[in-house]
Amino acid sequence: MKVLRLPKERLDLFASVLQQFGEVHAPVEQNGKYAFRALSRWSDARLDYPRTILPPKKYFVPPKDTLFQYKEGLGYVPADLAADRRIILFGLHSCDIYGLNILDQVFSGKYDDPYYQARRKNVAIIGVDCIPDEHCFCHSMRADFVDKGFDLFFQDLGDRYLVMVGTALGDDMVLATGSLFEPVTPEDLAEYKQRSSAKRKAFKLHVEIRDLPEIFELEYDSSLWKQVGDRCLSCGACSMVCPTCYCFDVADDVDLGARSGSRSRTWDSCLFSTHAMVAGGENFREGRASRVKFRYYHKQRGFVAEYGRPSCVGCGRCISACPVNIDISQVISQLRGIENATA
Amino acid sequence: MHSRHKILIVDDDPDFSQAVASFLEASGYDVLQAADGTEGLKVAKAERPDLILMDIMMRERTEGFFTIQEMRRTPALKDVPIFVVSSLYAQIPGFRITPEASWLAHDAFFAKPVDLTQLLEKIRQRLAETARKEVAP
Amino acid sequence: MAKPTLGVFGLTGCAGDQLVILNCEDELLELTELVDIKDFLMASSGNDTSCQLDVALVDGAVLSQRDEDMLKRIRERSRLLVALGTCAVWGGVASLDRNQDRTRLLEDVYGEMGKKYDSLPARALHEVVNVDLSITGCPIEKDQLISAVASLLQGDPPLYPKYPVCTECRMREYNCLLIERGEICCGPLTVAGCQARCPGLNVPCVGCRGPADDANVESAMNMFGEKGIPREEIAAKLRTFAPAWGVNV
Repeated sequence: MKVLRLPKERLDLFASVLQQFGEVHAPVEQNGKYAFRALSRWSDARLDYPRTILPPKKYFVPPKDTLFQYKEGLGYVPADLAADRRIILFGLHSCDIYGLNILDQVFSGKYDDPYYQARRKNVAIIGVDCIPDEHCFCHSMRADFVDKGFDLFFQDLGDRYLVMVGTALGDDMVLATGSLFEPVTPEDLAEYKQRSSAKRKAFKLHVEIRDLPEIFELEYDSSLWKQVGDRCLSCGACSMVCPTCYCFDVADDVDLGARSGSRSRTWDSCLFSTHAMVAGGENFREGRASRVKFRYYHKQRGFVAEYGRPSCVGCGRCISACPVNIDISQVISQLRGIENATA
Repeated sequence: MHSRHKILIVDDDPDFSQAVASFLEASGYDVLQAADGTEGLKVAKAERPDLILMDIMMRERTEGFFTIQEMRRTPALKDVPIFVVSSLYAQIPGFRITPEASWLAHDAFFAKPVDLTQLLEKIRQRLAETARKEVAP
Repeated sequence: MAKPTLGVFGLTGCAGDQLVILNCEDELLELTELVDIKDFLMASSGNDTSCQLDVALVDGAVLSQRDEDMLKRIRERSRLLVALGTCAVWGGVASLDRNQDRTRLLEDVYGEMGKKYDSLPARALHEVVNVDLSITGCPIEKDQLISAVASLLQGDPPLYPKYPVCTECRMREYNCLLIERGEICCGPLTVAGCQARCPGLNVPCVGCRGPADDANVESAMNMFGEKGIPREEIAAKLRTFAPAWGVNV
C-alpha cells in the first residue's frame, strides 16, 4: 500500500486540485451540528467533526428516490440518476466507510440494485481519522479501522497527514497534485503508531459483541423490551440517522389526470406501526415493544446470520438522535445483566 | 445594434478591481465588481456576464478555485469564459496551474501584476470567438 | 362517461382548507376538467345545493345544531365524505374548551344573550357521521389534496405518511430543536406530511396536524417532564388541535 505525507497547511491546495475529479463535499457546520454538503470554499470544511446528522448513505440511497416515471406516449421513463455527476466525499470516518461497505453487501450480490450501484460508482471516498467521543463504540463493533472502501485515507499526525492510497483513483488524485505530497519519514510512522494506539485506549463506551447474538436469543422474552418499548416514541430518528438502516417503502404517485406518474422509494423504519403490516390488515409487530426488539435483533443478530457480521457500526448517531435517550449500549448491558445500567 | 459586453471582476482588492474596471470601461465594456466568491457567484447568476475575471486568493487562499467550480456546476454559467488573475504562483512556488493543466475549468491565466494591454487583447479575442460561435453554430 | 361530481363545504372554522383548494393555482384548471364541481360556495355563486354528489369535501368542525344538520344533509347526498383539515378530522382549535361548562362559557363571552345561542361543544366530523377519508392539516397540504383527487379518480384512497414529523425533520437533516435546544416540539407526536416546515425554519412543531398513528403521549410527557417542562404546558399545547391526544392534566 502506498503511503505519503501531506502537510496540513497544503490541504486547501489539495482540495482545490481535487475538484477536477468531482464536486467536493465535506462536513460543514450547521447550528452546532454537522452535515455533509458541497463546499463553496475549503474553510467551510470541518474535518474535526464528531459525527454528521445524516450518514453518507444519503448520497447512495436518498431519503426519497424516484425509481422511474411513466408518461403517456413515452411509457416507462427511467429515472435520471444524474449518473454523470461525480462527487468526492472528503472526511468520512472509518465507521461510516465501514457502514458503506455493509450497504455494498446489501445492495449488490444476489440482488444488484442499479440505483445504488450507479451512484456508488461516481462517488469517491476520502477518509479521515478521528478521536472517539462519549457516544462512539465503533471499536467494539470492529468498525474503527477499515482496510477497504476508500480511495484515500488521511491519518492525522498533528501538523500533517499520513495518507494511505486505497485505489487506482486515489493514486490518480495523488499524482494529479504531485508536488504537494512528500515521502513518509520514520518519525511519521512512529507518530502514526503512537496515535493509533492512543485512539484505541480513548474509547469510553464499550459493548461486548462476542456472544451477543446468543444473549439476544436467550433473552427473547425479556421484560426489558416492554420497558424500552414503553419509552420509544416510534419517531424513526434512529433509523434515519443510522448508516446501515436501509429499509424503504415503495409507492406510486399518480399525477392528476393519470397521464403520468412516478414510482419512488422513501426511507422507512421498523419502528413505525405500519412496517410489519401486510395486505388484509394483519400486523406482525403491532406492539411497540416487539418493534424495538426487532430493530436491535436485526442489527445485532439477524444481520449476523445473513451477512456474517452485525450491521451496527458503533457510530453513536442513534444515541444522540433519540429524544427519549434510549441508548443501545445501555440496552445491551441490561440484557447482559450488568449492574448500574439503565436502559 | 450590438450592446456593450458585460465583464464581471471578482477580486477582494478594491484598488486593483477599480483600476481594471476603469480601464475596461474606457475600452468599451460594462463592468461589474464583486469582492468575494459568494458575491461573485450571486452577481454572475443574476447578471450573466460575458466574461469573468477571477481572483483566487480572497478571504482565503484558494477561494477562487472553489468559486470557479461552483460556477461551472451552475447551468447558466457552465460555458462563460473565466480568466484567472492571481498572484498565487508567485506566493506558492511549486504549485502550478497553467491553462494546459486541465484540473481548473478556466480559459486563461494572468499573473499579477497584470499587463492591462495584454489582458484587454485577450478579452477582445475571447469575446470575438464567442461571437463567431454564436453566429455559426 | 360523466365526470364525478364534487361538492366543497365548510362548517365552523376559518375555511382555510377550502382556500387551499383554490390556492392550487397550477392544478385548478385541470381539476375542473376532471371533476364536475357542483356546489362550492366559496368559489361560485351558481351552486346546485340539492343534487347527489360523488365526493363531498367538508372543512370545519361541528359547533352548532345548524352545523350538525348541514353535515347530515351532506352525508345523505354524497357517496364519499372527506373530512378536510384538522378541525374536521380532529376537532381542531374549536375543541380546545369542549370539556368546559358550555352554558357558563357562553355567558362569560356573550353575556345574557349567550344562553340563547345555538352552540355545542366542538366535534370532529367522524363523531357525527361516517367519514370515508380524512385529510388532516392546519391547513391541509396542497400536494395531499391533489394526490387525494388523483387517487380517488383512479378508485384508490391516497397514501399518506403515518409516521411523525421527526421522521421528515431527520430526512431533511434539520437540527433537532427538542434535543439541541430543549424546545417544546410536538414533532414526535404529530403526523408528518408537512415536510417538517416549521422546525426547518427554527419554529418548534405545535402539533397542528394532529396525532401520528402511534403517538406515545405518556413517554413524551415524561420526557418533557425530565427537561423541567410542566405537564400543564404540554397538555395545553396538545389540547389546541386535537383532544384525541388524550392528554389529561
